[in-house]
Amino acid sequence: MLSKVLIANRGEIALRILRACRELGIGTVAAYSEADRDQSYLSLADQTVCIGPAPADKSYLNMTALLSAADIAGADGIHPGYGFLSESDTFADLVEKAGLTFIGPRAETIRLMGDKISAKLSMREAGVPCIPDSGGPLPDSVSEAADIAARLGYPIIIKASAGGGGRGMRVVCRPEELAKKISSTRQEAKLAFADDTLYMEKYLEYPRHIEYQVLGDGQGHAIHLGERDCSMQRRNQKLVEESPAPHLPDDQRLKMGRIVAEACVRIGYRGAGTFEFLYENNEFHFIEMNTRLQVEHPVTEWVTGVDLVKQQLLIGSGHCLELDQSMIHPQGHAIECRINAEDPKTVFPSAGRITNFHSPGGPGIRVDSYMSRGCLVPAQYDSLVAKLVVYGHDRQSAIARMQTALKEMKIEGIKTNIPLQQHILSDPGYLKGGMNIHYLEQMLKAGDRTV
Amino acid sequence: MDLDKIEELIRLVDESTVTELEIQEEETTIRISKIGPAGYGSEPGSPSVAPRPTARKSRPDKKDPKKLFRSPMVGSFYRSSNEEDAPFVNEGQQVEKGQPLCVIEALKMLNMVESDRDGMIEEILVDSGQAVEYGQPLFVIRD
Repeated sequence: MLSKVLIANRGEIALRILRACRELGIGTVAAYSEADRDQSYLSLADQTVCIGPAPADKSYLNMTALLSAADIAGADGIHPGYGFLSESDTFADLVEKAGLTFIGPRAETIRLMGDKISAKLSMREAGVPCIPDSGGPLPDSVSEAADIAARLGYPIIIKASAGGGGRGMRVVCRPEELAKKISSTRQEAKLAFADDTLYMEKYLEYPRHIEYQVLGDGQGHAIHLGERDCSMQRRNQKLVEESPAPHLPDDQRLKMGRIVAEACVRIGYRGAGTFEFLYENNEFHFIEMNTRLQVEHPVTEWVTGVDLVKQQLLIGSGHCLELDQSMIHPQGHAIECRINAEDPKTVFPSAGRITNFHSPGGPGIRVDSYMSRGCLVPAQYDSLVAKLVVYGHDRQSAIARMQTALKEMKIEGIKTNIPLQQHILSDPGYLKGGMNIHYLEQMLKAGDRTV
Repeated sequence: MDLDKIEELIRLVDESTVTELEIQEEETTIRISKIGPAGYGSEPGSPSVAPRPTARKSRPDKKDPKKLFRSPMVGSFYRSSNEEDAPFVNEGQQVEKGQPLCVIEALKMLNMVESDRDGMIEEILVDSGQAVEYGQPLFVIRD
């Protein structure tokens, strides 16, 4: 078993990992930046080390500082959380070379899945359905690219192989736009990612975002823990996530779960991971794999009863997976609302000191948050300040519970998106379930017009 | 218990090495704690990874913050590049801007740390070989 884990992250996920380590009797070292010096979760750690000033590149992204902190504190493992260095194959490699355990997949797995072209190729080989695409890097010749586009059928999307987070991609609806859009995407990719490799995919116009949670031990065992529907998005940011995905036929749900678990065994996947799919016309299309814990992992934990962070720590300690597929029977319905420190109208971040915080409670409510009264929400980092998660025996009861919890939750001193979440949770489309990834933005635009 | 007495107790705890004091008098219980409201195990500037400074060392947070020279990185603090070598600086010594003060070892790399000002080393706050965190006071340098 790992004896002491350095947590290379901050905020609610640092707290989540601290709790799991403590429950397993693993010692903890919380690395923090100067901006987080007074966060209350640090008091739960056995040791704390200030790793640098507020800017993330000098602290939470500073590999030398994190490794040095692990060294002086005598940690034997590093948990990267999500974001920051969690999907850096370089960091995973450095951690392992320093003789420590990286709590996540092997560096080569992160590398394989980090490159969108290689990720799709290996997933296609493993039998995972993928969006029809150029089958490799897009050729320089415009006429060859036009042939590929014609074969896929418009609309198509051009993507930078190294891109992500909504950057480095362009949708092309008509053949005459193709040449211009290829050259502008190539230019952007070169500037933003120092890599102008592009590829082309069939563009799905109205897909849902459905993803599968997996766990693998890198020793020949892997399972899936069902799916999450994360289609309620604004500017490519997920806002509401739930499990199970509404109206997804059971046979299809189970079949895709089996396929992703088999793919994990095939690539020797170690740790927790997520296969992201676009789902349109009753078909799944693989988009990418996230080789880390996800923000929305609690909804899966609730319907399956599996503590994913503890599983990560056990796998990181070299244990074989203690669960097999026959033990996973998702029950009921869980929903998560991300509570962000932002102006609900302008979506600008709203940092500052929390003057009052009241967390909702009662049956079926889980709040993952680092906030307390008097704590500071720094302007330098992600705006996520709390995850409000509810459970109900079915979707309708979970929604009713979430509506109440949102009403009960009080955060003062900063602006939050609670009003937006209340709006979503009472929207007829959301209540019906199964809306696509563009639905929320369209709904908000329509709302603006009526105002 | 009257206010004067409580004030007196706070002053005593503040000046001592005691971090917490609880006194019961009849029905009143007073607890004085130097631990911050967030419930920290250590005061800012002293890393919980390092052994507590020896009694000889005075508490850095009582110093004029302008005089404090702080660690630019996480690592192990050494007063000289080699054990056999004489320390770069000693207490009472005059230093110039750019003069080496110590080395900090991070991941087997020795990083030379130079003074950012002219002045006199009034006090060295950490022992050679001690782990230090980012921003931890290392020296008191008087103009």
